[in-house]
Amino acid sequence: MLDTLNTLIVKSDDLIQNKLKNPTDIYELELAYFLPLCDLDKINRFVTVPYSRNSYPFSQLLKSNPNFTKLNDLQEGIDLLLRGSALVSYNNELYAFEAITWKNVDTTDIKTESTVRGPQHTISEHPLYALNIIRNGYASPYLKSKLFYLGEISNTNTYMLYDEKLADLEIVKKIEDNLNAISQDIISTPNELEQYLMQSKYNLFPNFLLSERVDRIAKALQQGKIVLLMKGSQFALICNVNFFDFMHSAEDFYESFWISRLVITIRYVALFFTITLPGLYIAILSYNPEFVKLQLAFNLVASRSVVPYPAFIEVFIMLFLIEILVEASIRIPKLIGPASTTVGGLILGTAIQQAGLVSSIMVIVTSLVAISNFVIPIYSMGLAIRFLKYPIIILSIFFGLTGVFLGLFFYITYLCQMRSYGVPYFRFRLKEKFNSRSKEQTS
Amino acid sequence: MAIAISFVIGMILLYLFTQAAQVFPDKDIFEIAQITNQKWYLYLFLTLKTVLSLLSTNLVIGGYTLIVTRYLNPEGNVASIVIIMLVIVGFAATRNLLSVAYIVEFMTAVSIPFIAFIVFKTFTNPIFNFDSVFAVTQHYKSLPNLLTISSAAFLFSGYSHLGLFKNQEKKPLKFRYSWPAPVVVLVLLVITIFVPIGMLGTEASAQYKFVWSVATDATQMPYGFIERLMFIFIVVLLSVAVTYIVSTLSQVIDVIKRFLLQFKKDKNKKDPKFLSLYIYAIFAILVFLYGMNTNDFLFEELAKWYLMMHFIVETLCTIFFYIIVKVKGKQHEAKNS
Repeated sequence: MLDTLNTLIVKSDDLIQNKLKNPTDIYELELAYFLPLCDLDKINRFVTVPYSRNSYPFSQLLKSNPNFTKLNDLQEGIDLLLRGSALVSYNNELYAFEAITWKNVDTTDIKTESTVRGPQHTISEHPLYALNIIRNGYASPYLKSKLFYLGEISNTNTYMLYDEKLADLEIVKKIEDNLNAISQDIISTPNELEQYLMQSKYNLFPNFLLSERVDRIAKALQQGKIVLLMKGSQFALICNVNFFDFMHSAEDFYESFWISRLVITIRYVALFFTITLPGLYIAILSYNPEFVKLQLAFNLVASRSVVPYPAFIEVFIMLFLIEILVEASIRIPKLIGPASTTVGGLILGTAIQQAGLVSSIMVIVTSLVAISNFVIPIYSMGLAIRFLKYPIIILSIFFGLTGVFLGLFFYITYLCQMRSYGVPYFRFRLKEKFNSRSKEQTS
Repeated sequence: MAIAISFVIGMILLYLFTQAAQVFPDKDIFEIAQITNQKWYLYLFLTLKTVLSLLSTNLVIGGYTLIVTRYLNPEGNVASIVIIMLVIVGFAATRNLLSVAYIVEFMTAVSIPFIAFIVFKTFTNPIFNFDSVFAVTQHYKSLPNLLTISSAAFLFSGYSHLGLFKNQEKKPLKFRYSWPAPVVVLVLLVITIFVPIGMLGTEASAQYKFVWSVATDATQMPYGFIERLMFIFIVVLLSVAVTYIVSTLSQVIDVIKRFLLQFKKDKNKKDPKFLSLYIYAIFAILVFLYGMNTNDFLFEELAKWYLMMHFIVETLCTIFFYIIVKVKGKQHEAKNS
């Protein structure tokens, strides 16, 4: 059975295949099961121990226990294998033993990628439990897992997952080589692993996507991406991603076509605002007040009439204060959390404007910039985008509107020349083409 | 009549080019010239293209600087605008050709809605006068000169960029459905010529240097934040101009780099780092010197000469390319088979 099984399903490090031989039994027992999906105690109790002891004819046990289902051919068994059954071959007869276990007891609520609908729990910090959740969500015979031990001292279990039919095997090989080349003592988190897998240390934008959602991981596997799971972290590292993956939320797949497109458009508009709004504010006020309508231009200038310094100084003051507030909010103890609301709302919003240190329009601009930044679904991309506005501000100080749009062009150029393991990071496509299985592969 | 003649010439040259390009789908112009042993074409192509691209970069940057200092930022420093454009263009033009192709793709896709909006706003402007347009079209029988045909044919010459871009992807480019391109370009050409005439009138449009800037300056947008259409036009012009310079320069830098690396003594040694940057630096210095010393008269004269030279060089290059591929290409294939 095991030889035939290897032709129907990809060989995977979490697929356990055993050939047992009891000297007191004339027949061999062949056993195959996915370790993350099956209850090992149950398999030992009902299969391996009874066979080893041979106190009761094993063939009678197979016929009398309702957990064993007789199969006519191995093809039938593949689906059951992927859904948590163990395949048992004894005396040229094939059985499936129901041993599925659900291992989402170790999971927590999703914190960084919240959605209204969809799964609300993360994958597990234990890689086998995480594999259990992922294999239940992506029950494909082509899903392959490879086990690595990273760190000379930490020996951290790391599983590499990919769909063998859909993934680019050249990229798989490159990542494998990079994993094998790591010679650090301790690697304990996917964030650290990301630093060693990055092809260039000085990239402005993240090359890997950290996700704790099982639906996003399953979608990534279906798109031919490679996923890394590490012991001790409920985040999976998704490799060979592109820029647009960071701008998509898992919820885009749950809503209807037009609603999800509208939400995605809002995200890109927010991205444009968060990068260019401070620069545009400086360029319009300092160089081209005639850019906007006359009444709006009067309002802008009037609101700035009490401010004693140029527009770019007030922009820097407000943005710096907002950055401090955001950073403090991450670390502030929950008991004094309301103080940050008071500081942010009252002092930064109202008092600073009433003191004449910044104009009221600047407060609105800064709030819009800060909120727009958090529209980006993935935290690492949001962090990268947060700092892109500063070079645009500097360009707008010296060159006005020309500087703002030349700065944007520079970012577009930078994105277009980035590659994620050979895959273009930023290529404009109306509809993304993935390696989909051809008809002869699926039949 | 120049529009009609340039349309016909553009269609013929496009057909010749696409037919020739498909004979060696996985090779670009440089490689085809090498394998068919037509070094003279390579040197001719290299020299003329280098001179023309340097001239076009000068004109685009110089022209854009003139527009910015006139319409957007009259107190602006010319040197600072030229330098920042050269820095940004230099970063983009020294990337590899595939990345430049992605930049062109993205910028085209993003610019098209804004261009459509600008055209829509100008055509629906109450002061747009169709009588001026009809008055000009009455002169369709007058014979054109080389300058008018060259100016019109310039818009149809974009296919030449594919000579180096066509084999950048793993799957070589197939020239399917290439016939709509000249039709679209014809529509754009008609819009480019007749919108300023309709907005400004037949007499006034001959008096201005930058007619589109003036035409969009006269168009108001009553329902939005932005007062005048000119600001959108200048931003779109910047994006399109920079994309054009980057596309042109990156090809020239790539060809010069490959030409220079032919003379590398030790083929196993790594290519010199930053070679593209050194080549670009020479271009940048020349463009900066031009940008600091340009004026309207020089800009206009150079533009006329550039358009005429570009038309002659592109026509000759395309025809020779077709002949080389069809004649020498067959010989090369017969030798290899």
